[in-house]
Amino acid sequence: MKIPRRIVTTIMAVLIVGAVAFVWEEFFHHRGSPEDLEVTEPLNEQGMRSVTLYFGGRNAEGFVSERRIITASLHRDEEVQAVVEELLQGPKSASAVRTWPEGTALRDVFYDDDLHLLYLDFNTALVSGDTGGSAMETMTLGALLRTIAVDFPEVDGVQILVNGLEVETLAGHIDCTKPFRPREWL
Amino acid sequence: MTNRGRSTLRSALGVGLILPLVVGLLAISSSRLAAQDSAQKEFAARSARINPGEGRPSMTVTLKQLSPPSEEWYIAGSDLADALQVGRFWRADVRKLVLRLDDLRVTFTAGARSVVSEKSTILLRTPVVFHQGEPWIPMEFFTSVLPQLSDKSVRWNADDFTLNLGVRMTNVEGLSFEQGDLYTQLVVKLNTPLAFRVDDSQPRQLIVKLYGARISPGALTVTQPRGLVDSVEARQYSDYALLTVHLSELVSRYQSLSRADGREIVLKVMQEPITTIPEPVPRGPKIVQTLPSTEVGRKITVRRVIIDAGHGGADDGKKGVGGLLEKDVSLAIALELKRELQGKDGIEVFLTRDDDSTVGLIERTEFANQQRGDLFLSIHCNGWYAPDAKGVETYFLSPAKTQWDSTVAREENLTTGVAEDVDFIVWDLVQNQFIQESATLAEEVQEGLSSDLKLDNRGVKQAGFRVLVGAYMPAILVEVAFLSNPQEAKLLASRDFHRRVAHSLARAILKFRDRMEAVREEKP
Repeated sequence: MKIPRRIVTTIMAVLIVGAVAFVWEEFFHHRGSPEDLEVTEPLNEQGMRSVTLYFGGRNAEGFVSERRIITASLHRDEEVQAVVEELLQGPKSASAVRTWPEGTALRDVFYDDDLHLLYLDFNTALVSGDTGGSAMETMTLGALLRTIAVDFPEVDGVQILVNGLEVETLAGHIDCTKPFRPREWL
Repeated sequence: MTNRGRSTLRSALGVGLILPLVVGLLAISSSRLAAQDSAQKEFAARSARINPGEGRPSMTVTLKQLSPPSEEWYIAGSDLADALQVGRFWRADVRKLVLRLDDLRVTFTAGARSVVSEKSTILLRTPVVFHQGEPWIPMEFFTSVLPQLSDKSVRWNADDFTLNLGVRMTNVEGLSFEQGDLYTQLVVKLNTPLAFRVDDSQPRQLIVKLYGARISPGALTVTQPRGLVDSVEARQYSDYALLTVHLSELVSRYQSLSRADGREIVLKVMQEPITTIPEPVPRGPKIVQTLPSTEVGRKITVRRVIIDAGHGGADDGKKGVGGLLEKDVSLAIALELKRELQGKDGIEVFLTRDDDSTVGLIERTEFANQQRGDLFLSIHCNGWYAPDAKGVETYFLSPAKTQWDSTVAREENLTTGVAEDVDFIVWDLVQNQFIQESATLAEEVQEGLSSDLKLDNRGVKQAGFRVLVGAYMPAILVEVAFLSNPQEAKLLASRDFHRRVAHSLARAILKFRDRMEAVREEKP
């Protein structure tokens, strides 16, 4: 079958004009025209934010930091929940160690806006697993409090609860009866 | 159509096809280049307010989104330097921006995500971007990097685009000097009592270790000579700070003490009065001589020693490799130590438990106070989530890291006047009065165990131990070795090891006693 040349030429011309227009629009037209700037709103519920997590070093000396992207929220307790869940998941790097007793889970988060005081309620695995050893306990607290201090600098105090109640210590060493000041753990 | 007509059409079509392609490719490549270079496209701009703190007026800067699809906001390098009030150096050839942040050089490289300083390398989520002739830094720098590098506190409010910078809580206020006839007194002013230790092993310098100190090194640095002090260097480490005091060669001895309720550390360096014509100084290298020191402070007698075997009864403590329980090891060592120390030079030993019974943490301290103990030593074994960790560490109480309301309590204590009438002391603050002696005891025990038993020396540390709070005496907790490490678990199971640990602990306690009893009671 023979297609008339005129039709072929027309199609070609349309394609070429289209391509040129596309290139112009995409690469030349936009550049350096400040009136195109749109003022957008800052991150809101739909946004993401990057957070820093701390895990233990393999020999229980020092911390190893890793980054995660979490869903940003206007509600601080939701962001805290997401960050602590990530901590409980453990590190990705082989040089880092997860600093939580087996089976530890976060039950609830409550933030007192007036006192800037954060309550973190864990399950009993936090105190009943194979814990013991000051290194374990100080690093569990250290990794948590350091993470809170860096990701939520506005938090002045962190009170740890187990099954909704205050505990004396996690494993027989560090006093947990009062809130910790996370910034002092940086 | 003729053949000729066809070929003309073909070549016209060819040119028509190729030309736009070439143009298009050129456009793409130039656009890519531009993206890397000065004409980085802006996607959004918004003004933000920065309150730089330290009494400086707030400034308004323009933030831009420069790196799609990320919605990260960027600040111009020059605005960043202004906000932090630090010097900046831009090297166009290697596209590096360097900021002087206290004594750190913080380097940003256009196109790279890393922020490099002497302290660490931290990765940003989005790269530094070159735009309008200078590097632009992601705002993430303020929230996640700056707090790790400086003593600044940062609060970023994403709702109204306001950044508040401030000074993070430091607990060392500053230095002052008092000049006398033949001495210079260096006074370190603290916000909270801190334990310290003076290392005089280096010639012509004193190194003051401040446990749990958070300092702003710039505020404690002295470059010009002040009396007998030539200069002072300050350095922050993870859980302590070091002040290196360089001394004039005239200094022949020194004293160190804490006063003002532990809120001041005084370092008094002295020269001898010149009574005779000094002998000519021999040429050549000077013989290194350390300075004779005098510890000044409270005299403590050590007669009644309280030994606390960690855990016990329902509380197993750490379960070791091979099923060994921490509570059994700590009891075994405690019993050995009692055998070793009881009756030696009139020392009496009291155990918080001598069998496998459950004893509360506060009960243990109360027992120690009731027995009017002179020294409290809690024996534990360490544990870790991985088998790698090993070695010995010794702890004393960190008052600052524990209490939410101790500052309030202290102020109440001071203002209610109760303290003057009945010598009322808040339980949480009791140990503060002995923190200096506790640090000394901890260093003796740590040094002894690590060298006597060839264990890795993990250092003296501070933490908010429940069992040490409220002890009205020097009090420490020793973590002998790791039950989670296979080799050390084997050691901890051996009777011979228990004996050697007990022997080393006994020696450290006797050394501590000698040191405390040699202390001269004197006011500066």
